[in-house]
Amino acid sequence: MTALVRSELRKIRTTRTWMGLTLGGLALVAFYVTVIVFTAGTTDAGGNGLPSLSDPAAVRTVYGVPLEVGYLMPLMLGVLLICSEFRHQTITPTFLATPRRGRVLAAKAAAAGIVGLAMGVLITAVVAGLGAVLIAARGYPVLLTSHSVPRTLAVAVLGLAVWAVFGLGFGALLKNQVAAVVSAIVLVTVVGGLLTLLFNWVHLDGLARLLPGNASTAMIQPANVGGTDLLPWWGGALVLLAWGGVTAGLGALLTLRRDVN
Amino acid sequence: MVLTTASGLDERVGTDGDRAGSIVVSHLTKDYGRIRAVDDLSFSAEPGTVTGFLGPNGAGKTTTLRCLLGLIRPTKGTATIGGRRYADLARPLQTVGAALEASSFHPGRTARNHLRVLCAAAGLPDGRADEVLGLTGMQESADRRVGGFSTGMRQRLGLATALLGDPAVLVLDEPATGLDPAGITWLRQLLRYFAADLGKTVLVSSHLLDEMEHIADDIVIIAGGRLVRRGPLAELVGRAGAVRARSPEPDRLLAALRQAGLAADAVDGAVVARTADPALVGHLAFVHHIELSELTGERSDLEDVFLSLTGADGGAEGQQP
Repeated sequence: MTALVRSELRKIRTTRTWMGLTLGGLALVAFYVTVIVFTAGTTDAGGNGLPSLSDPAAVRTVYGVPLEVGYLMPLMLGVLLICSEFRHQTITPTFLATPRRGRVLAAKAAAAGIVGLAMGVLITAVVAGLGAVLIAARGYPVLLTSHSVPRTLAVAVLGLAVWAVFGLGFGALLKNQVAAVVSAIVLVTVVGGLLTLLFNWVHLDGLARLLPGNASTAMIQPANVGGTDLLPWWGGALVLLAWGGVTAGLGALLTLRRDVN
Repeated sequence: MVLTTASGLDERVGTDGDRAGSIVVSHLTKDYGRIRAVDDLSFSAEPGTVTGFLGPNGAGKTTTLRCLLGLIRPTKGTATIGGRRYADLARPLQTVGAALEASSFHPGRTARNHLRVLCAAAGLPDGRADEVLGLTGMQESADRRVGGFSTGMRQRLGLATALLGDPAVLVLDEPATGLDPAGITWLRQLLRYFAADLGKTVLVSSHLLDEMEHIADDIVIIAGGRLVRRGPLAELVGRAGAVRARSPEPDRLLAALRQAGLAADAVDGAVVARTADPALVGHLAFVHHIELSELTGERSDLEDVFLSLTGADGGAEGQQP
């Protein structure tokens, strides 16, 4: 099994996809951190006041940017880890080397977790560094070592690893690369948001907080969550991991057993 | 006429079925919805021989090979290597090397890295990647991304992939496609060497009979998913091939050919020998110091045989009664 994980890690390292995703992720979180820090305490166009950085929860929102938007990159990494094999037909040599397909998927899940963790470290470090500098520049305490901020940062790192595993499961289920990338993003962001509104409207908050996006947000314990009752941070992590396990399991059962033509 | 047809096949499969390194396909059937791609197909390929797996495009060759390699689940029947299904092989890449299509590479990955990914999965030392790149004449391109490769280079990389685990069994799907003439000659020699000198089992598919003529010992011809004919190539060729030679001394040439056991006749001032191998006639003439002014292989008969066997109307001859 170690050999298979090594093979999967080598697959990731020997193309430039990981680099593009990481750089894209860094740019994305840097943009978000900057926007959140400089709009905090102001009033938006609709006249709603945004929480000031004097509120520790608002500071946690800054440091939680990896789980609010940065997760998209490990999500895509996980999706591409399986879908690009079908797209470029490298799934044929992969299955020839390892005919037991469940083992291939397990090795990919491990590799997704490892690389997701590495991306998590990098993205979270940049968010923490940039966030602290910008918060200090606005004259607020950076709170890097208090008010649950260390936990938020640690959970962000782990959360990104979990998102990579979820992406892998999602990709295994859909197989088609374009369909999987587009629908993963649309489902988690747009559809997830709409379902949250729907569940809240019919008073099923319990279901709403089990959605992947809300489980991810729960890990930060941010300031403003639009009235949704979130899980505790560890519950969010477990729910997201379960989503990854269920989709990967379904993918193994439904799609990976099929003929490779 | 000793060609084995489908009806006489089962005994052979039974006796050879358990030999290490032999490929046995037995009553293999694959349906795609209502279309039957492979229909009760049985044949075997033995160590030390090159088996040409022939048939027109769409005959079911690739489906058969993918069933053999565990990529496609057969509807009925089995395909085994040394008596085992591919999925049950303990060390698959060290047992069977396969090259299926010329495009199963990530375009952004270099040739060497493509091979090293598989080295890691199969528990092979990384150095094997460079060894097989050397064997296939790809050293120069080792660090180039596959996306820029020609079809011929992809074929070579596919062959390098198949050789990675130094397997005793090779399964190659249309390996000559996209190779230049020099590459085809090289491939022929390599496959002959693997089978004749190293004793490997080589199963190689093609839709062109003349590609197989200088490589294959045995042939298996299928059409419409069904076995049409199988047996040693020499027997099919012996029935159909002819070599036409002209010489200032036709009588001496006739005598020399007959002495070597070839059926030969004088036709319109030329000598026609019943063999498909012009090189053999040339060699005999050389050994006997007979000057040749013309030496032509007449293979149209053989092509006719192939076409009639696989064509829509003529397929009945070799099919099951």
